[in-house]
Amino acid sequence: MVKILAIIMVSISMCLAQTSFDRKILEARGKVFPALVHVQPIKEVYDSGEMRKVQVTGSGIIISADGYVVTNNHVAEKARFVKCTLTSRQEVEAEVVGLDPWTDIAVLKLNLSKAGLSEVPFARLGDSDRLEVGQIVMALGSPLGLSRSLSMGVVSSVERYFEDIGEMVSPFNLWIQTDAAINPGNSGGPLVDLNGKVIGINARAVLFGENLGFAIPSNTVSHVVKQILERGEVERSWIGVDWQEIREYRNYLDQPDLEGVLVANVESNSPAARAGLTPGTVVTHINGKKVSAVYQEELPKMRLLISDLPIESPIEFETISGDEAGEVSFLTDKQGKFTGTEFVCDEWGMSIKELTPRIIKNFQLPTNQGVLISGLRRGGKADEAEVRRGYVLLSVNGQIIEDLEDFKVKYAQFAENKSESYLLFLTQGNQNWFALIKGEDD
Amino acid sequence: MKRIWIRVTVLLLAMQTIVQAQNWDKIIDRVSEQVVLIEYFEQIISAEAIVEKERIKRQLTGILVDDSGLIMTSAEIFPTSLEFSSMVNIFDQTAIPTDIRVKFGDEEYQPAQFIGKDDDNKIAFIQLLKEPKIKPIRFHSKRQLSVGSKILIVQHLNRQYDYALLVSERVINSIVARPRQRYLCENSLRSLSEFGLVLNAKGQPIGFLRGIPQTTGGFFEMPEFSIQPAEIILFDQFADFIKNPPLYRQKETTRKKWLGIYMQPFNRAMAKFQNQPGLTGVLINTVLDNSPAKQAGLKPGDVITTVNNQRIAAEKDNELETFRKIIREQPESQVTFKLFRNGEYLDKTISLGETPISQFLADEVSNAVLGFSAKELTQDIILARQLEWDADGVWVSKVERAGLADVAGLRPGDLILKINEQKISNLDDIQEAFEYIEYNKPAYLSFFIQRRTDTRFLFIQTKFQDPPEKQGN
Repeated sequence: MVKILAIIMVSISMCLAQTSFDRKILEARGKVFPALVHVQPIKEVYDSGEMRKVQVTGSGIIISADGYVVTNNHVAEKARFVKCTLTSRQEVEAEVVGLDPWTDIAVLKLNLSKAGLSEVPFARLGDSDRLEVGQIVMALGSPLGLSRSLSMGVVSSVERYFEDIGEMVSPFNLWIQTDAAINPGNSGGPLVDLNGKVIGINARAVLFGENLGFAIPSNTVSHVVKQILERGEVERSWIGVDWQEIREYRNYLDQPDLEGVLVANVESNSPAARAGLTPGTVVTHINGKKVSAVYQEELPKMRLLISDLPIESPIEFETISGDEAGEVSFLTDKQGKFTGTEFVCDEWGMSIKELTPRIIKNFQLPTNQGVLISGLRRGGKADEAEVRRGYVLLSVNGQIIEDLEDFKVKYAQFAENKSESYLLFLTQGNQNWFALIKGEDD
Repeated sequence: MKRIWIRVTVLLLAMQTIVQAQNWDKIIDRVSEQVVLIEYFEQIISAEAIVEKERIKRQLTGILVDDSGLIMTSAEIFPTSLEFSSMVNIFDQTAIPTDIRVKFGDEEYQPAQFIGKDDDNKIAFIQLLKEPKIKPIRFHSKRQLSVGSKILIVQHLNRQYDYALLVSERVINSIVARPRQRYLCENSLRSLSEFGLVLNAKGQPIGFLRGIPQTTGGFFEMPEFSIQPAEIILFDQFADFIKNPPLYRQKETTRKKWLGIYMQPFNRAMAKFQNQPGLTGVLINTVLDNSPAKQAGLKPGDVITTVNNQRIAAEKDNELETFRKIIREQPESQVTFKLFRNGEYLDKTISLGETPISQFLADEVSNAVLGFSAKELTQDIILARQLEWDADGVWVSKVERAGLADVAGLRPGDLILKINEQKISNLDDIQEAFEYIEYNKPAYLSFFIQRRTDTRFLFIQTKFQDPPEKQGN
């Protein structure tokens, strides 16, 4: 009898738990679901030397009653026109307020008046620093374009570190890893805790991986959104240093208590290089504040500490080099553009791109002069002249091309004088190339 | 009446076949001794092992070309590039072929050794260790071939057919005139290698058959459906090599002449653009640092119009080959160019250099404990890595898979700048570092390396100080 009672008791209590758990999920969902947005930007992309339009699908979340929406940079970048569909299925136009490719965050503003709305339901951002592994989370969005979807899982990791490889992987934050199903189209959608707070913006998944989704922590999101709303962009300080964690360096020196960060690489022509900072130096204090990165996961915080400084602010390092303590101080510089602006030369049938610090570094270009040939239209004048894609254009008829703006001015004349021929001088790696765009009278 | 004519024709055709068949027998009998089967071992050089382990047994067709036992074969026998080139491949290399044996018709094997090769002509030479008993092939020179000329190709079949002699009658299907005279024939029988002896219709040896490498088509292009023709190389083109075979002597290997430029065709439109409608030549687009061209003051944009008063013309890409050949095969190191620069003609006398060695011939040091090898910097690596031409340093050529260096993250291609606090500028420095490590047995090592454009530190845990593993109880 006691046994039977016990079994009944247990099952009843489980039922109760089930219903309260269910309710908790529904409540949390209810707080965020009305603020979910299905985002469909029309993008202008440059392909084969021409500008083309494509429509993509992503997700977003409204964060204010007046209609500011957070989504991913990779959803909203290059968008001319953004169509948003609210959970109420009402379609509202939006404009891009600001983009931050470094963290993959974008802010949109819904055109409420045009849609005849005065305000919209919005969700609140939570505190991602208090998130714990194992906590239940839900991912909301439009996986593969299937709008208003919800999937659930747990937080798998709160400190996933990705090496900075320059492909939408932010060097300034760690990532939240979740096993809640995330697919293409979930990008820009919220990751929500059981209190109905947005604790991350879903951004990436591992192709061919099972339930490996990654979200940008909400604290990074609010930090970036705040700056975009204030200035339209995120300005970052740059000094030209790559940092390395000291875990193994401690072993090498046999100094298990060493604190600090190791300078691994100093870019030439950077503020740090000019100040004489060299690889192998350990930085222990920045502007009087103690810093240390024993593990990789501590590096993003380090980078953020510097990037958050206002541009051209004085920075002071206390260092150890070998056994010698030292000090280095200099001014920070502005971090260069992530992606360059593109421009179509219709007459010549090619597209060109502004040189960014990344391109200059990867191409090992001696100067920042020139523009990158990003695409060629098949059968166009440039294609016929054997202009090469991926090469940097240095000069036309002996006239040096300084940058994109300079090229645009010169090209306007070139395109006008169709009877003239133009000798382009290009370079890539160690190899240069001449290409002659023939005048129409020839 | 008509029937009779047909009968006569058939009869004539049959007779012709019989006559030819008789000729063939004799001819094949004669050359089957001189067209030999070469067996050798190819040593794969892996970037993932510091001691080579893999050897592959291979076979090739060869031709006995002199009384001393010199045998000519395809450069396939040792495909690794010995000369500098703009494309560096540190993977898929092979070492010099070893354990070479030559099988004559009588099933007898004779040992031989590698002599040298000429990559431009894709031929290599091996030498029998003992003088052969049989007479070599005597090539006939100055034989004219025209489209439709009959030829006989003698080669071998592959292993599936036990390397049986393969004789095929073909015709010259095409003669390509530019940039140089090339005789092409259809090439659809799959032989052991694309190398063989070529006889004319009279059965006289006139040259060798050489395959034309497949141009890389699209991913979906099936090689079976796009068989290239083969080329007949006549005796005149390689007679000198038989008299004076190229010699492989590691770093002292004879190399061809070198100017040190990249060039492109200077076409009619470009000539017109320069207001010189009749001007022909090659257009220099790049002058390599530390090259004879740089020393002579050549510049990108210069047009080379003559070499030693010989007029140069290159309207298309494949015509650059002519100029390249002239330079590479210059008997004298001094050449004079007539250049066109900025609307003016100028004469330049240039001392050509020797083509720099490839990284394959560079000196290498290895450390079995740490599990990696390093090589001195050669021009090809300097160029590929966009380093200063006089840069010093060493680069990692091999990393033993799952060895200490591999586990610490060292990769083939990394430049080693420092070991611990010691700057590494050359192989002596690294040798010194190895000695220090062997003597002091530090628990950790610091490697300061450069990978692509960035530098970083790697820390190698040496395990020197681990307690020795217990032997079984």
